[in-house]
Amino acid sequence: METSTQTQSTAVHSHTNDVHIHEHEHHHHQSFISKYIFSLDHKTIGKQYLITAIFMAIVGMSLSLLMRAQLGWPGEQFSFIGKLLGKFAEGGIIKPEYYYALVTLHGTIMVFFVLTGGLSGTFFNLLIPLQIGTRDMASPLLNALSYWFFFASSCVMLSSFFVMAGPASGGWTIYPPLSALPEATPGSGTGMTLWLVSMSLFIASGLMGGINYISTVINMRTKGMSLWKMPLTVWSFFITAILGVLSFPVLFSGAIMLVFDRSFGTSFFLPDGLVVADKLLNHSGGSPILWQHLFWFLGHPEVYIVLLPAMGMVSEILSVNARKPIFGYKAMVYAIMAIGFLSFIVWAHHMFQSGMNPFLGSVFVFTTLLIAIPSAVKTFNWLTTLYRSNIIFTPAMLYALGFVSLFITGGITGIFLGNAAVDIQLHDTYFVVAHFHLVMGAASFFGLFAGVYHWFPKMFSKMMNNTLGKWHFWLTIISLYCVFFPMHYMGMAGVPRRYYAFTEYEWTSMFTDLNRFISIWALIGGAAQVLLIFNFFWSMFKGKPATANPWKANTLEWTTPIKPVHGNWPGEIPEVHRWPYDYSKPGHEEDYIPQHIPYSETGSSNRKGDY
Amino acid sequence: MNLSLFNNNGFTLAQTSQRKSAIRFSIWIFMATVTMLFAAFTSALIVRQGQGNWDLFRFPAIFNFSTIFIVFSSVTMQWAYLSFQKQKTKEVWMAAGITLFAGLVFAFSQISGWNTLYDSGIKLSGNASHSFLFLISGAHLLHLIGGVVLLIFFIVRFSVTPSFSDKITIYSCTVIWHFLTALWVYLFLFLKYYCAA
Repeated sequence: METSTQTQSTAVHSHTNDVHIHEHEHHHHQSFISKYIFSLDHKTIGKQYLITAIFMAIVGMSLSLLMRAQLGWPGEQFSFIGKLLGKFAEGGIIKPEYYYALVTLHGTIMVFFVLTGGLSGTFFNLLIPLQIGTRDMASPLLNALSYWFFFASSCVMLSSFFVMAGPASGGWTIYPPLSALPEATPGSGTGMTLWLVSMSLFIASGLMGGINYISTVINMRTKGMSLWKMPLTVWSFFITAILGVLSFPVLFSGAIMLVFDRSFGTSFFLPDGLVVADKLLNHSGGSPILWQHLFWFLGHPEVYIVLLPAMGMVSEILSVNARKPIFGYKAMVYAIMAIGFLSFIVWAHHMFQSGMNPFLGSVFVFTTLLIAIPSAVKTFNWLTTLYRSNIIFTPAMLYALGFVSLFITGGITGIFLGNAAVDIQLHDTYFVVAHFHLVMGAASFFGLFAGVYHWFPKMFSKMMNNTLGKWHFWLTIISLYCVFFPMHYMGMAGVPRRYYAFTEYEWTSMFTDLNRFISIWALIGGAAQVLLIFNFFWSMFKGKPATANPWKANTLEWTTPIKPVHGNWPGEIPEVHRWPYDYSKPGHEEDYIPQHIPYSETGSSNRKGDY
Repeated sequence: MNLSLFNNNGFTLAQTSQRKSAIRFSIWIFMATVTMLFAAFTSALIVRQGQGNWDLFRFPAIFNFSTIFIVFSSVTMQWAYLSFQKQKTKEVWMAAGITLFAGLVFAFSQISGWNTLYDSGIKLSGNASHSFLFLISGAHLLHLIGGVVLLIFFIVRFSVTPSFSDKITIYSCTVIWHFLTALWVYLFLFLKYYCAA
């Protein structure tokens, strides 16, 4: 038995060697275009995603600052805003219709283009092949196509800023009838059409990517890399990809029906008796609630599509910089699976106040609160990983710690919002805005930042500047809390979200000062991002050269050459012998043992049951 | 398959067996996404039907005919697949040809079914039950056309180089074809149950 496995493994090795020689002959002459632009290499595609996402994030953040300018100083004339937005902000005051376009596009860009496309696209592409030990994705071409669809979809979404009537303005959830009737609002016309075209391209991109990620993780792992030896990053990416593949088609079905309502006279989402411009419409019998069901069946898994990869990266970074094994590795994996599963059966908690049957609501309260269990398991395990560890405060580690903080703060309010009764007061208020920005927006951004600081050396063979990174972290987390913490109070008082101004009523205008406070911190937080952008591009060219394994981490990506090569490993792909979290193992002279080190070389630290 | 879609980036030989199983696996994930799409359509139909104002109408007889035809085409597709396994060139040709023909007959009978419906005043923009019928059968037909294109691709390749080394194209053709057949049988029974008078 043993001999046969040995022969087999030798056979595999000599085979990959042959292949490698063959590859070398192929790959010396790559033109600039095939190397950097229409590249099929997963590492380059990951970087393309990252750069696109950085650009989209700058746009998305600028939109939020424009909104904060209006909310902090309502009616104030900002001449530069007037110059920037032209007829949408005559005299430097943003028009109410355009404010809704800002809300819509900020949400759409941040949720889909930065935290889904950007976060997943970057790190799934970079890390899945490197951490499971394969030379590339299952289908490199499909992978490149996925990026170019994403790029096209970003361009279409941005182009909607330049149409006469302005971009879509019905909110990122594009509820009908505003989204289904082209004549309903200025943004419901061409802007909405572009939104739908862009999102269709985005879904196509996401599905191509998702199929590839799942198939790669299942089929392309190196020898010895059993599922239970995969880093938590890969586990979370894998489950996230499954969520995407199962939920995005549902959004697509809704989008198709919406297109039919808009263009072919159907009434899927349009009820009787709608009057637009004094004209009674022909539509009859449709249900706007049906759209909400279809949208949120994607929408809720979507928030975990955004959050789970961040959780995976944070688990990895916490363990590396705490120099301790992650606490409860298997529990972490089961928690990811549980969150993934539960995310499909909670969607109606976004619709408690939509007129839904209250009994149905109570079922969704129950499933929603269940999510607290795996979330608490994860939080407990992060804290116990940190307990009595010697933390190394790299910028990535700071962001990982910040993630845990934001996840707790924002997650707790989810328990309030998950109750249908409490939701009567809290729904559609700033409490919701505070909740999801902390737990999903900011937390996932922290995962993204942590990932960028941690894997920058792997992407660009350079180190980022630590001091700038720390300044960036502290300014960001302080301003985040100053922006979103006060919003809870406004929400509890009943201040509604998505309003253009709060000057009309006394009970809302009493928050004018608080709104200004929030806006000032939003500006500080926004300005702090310049540090990251500068650090990122400056380090890419002028950063200190990276070492092979700068964080002394165990995962396979750090066994690749510092200068990335096509095919990832110049020789054989390393074989995996152990789990990725052998940090500070008693008896070993160093405080880490990479995954490819066989037990035969670590006699001093081996324990019963290790092999 | 030597389809450039899956064999490029210089890794023509690298991890070949891994990559082959990855491609087979990808096809199944793809079918899962299509399943979710139609699950969404059909559950939307159930939700909408539950709200009333739902018209029941007579199904044109040609839909029965098209259903029989697509089931038949699945049998001949399986025949083509088995003949490919046994390396019988002539049978592969015949079976794949019949399948292609049956697939096209299915497509035309669906379209003619829509025509019959339009003639009797059942229109896309009518009652929601009408809209759903056109939407769902139309979405299925688009997927079937995708399957037909894949089958044509196989037939053209097989006629240029009649080799039996590439098993994945015929495999994906067959699996997807059976899937679309099963999907239509489900959709047909479902639509009959909810929409037919």
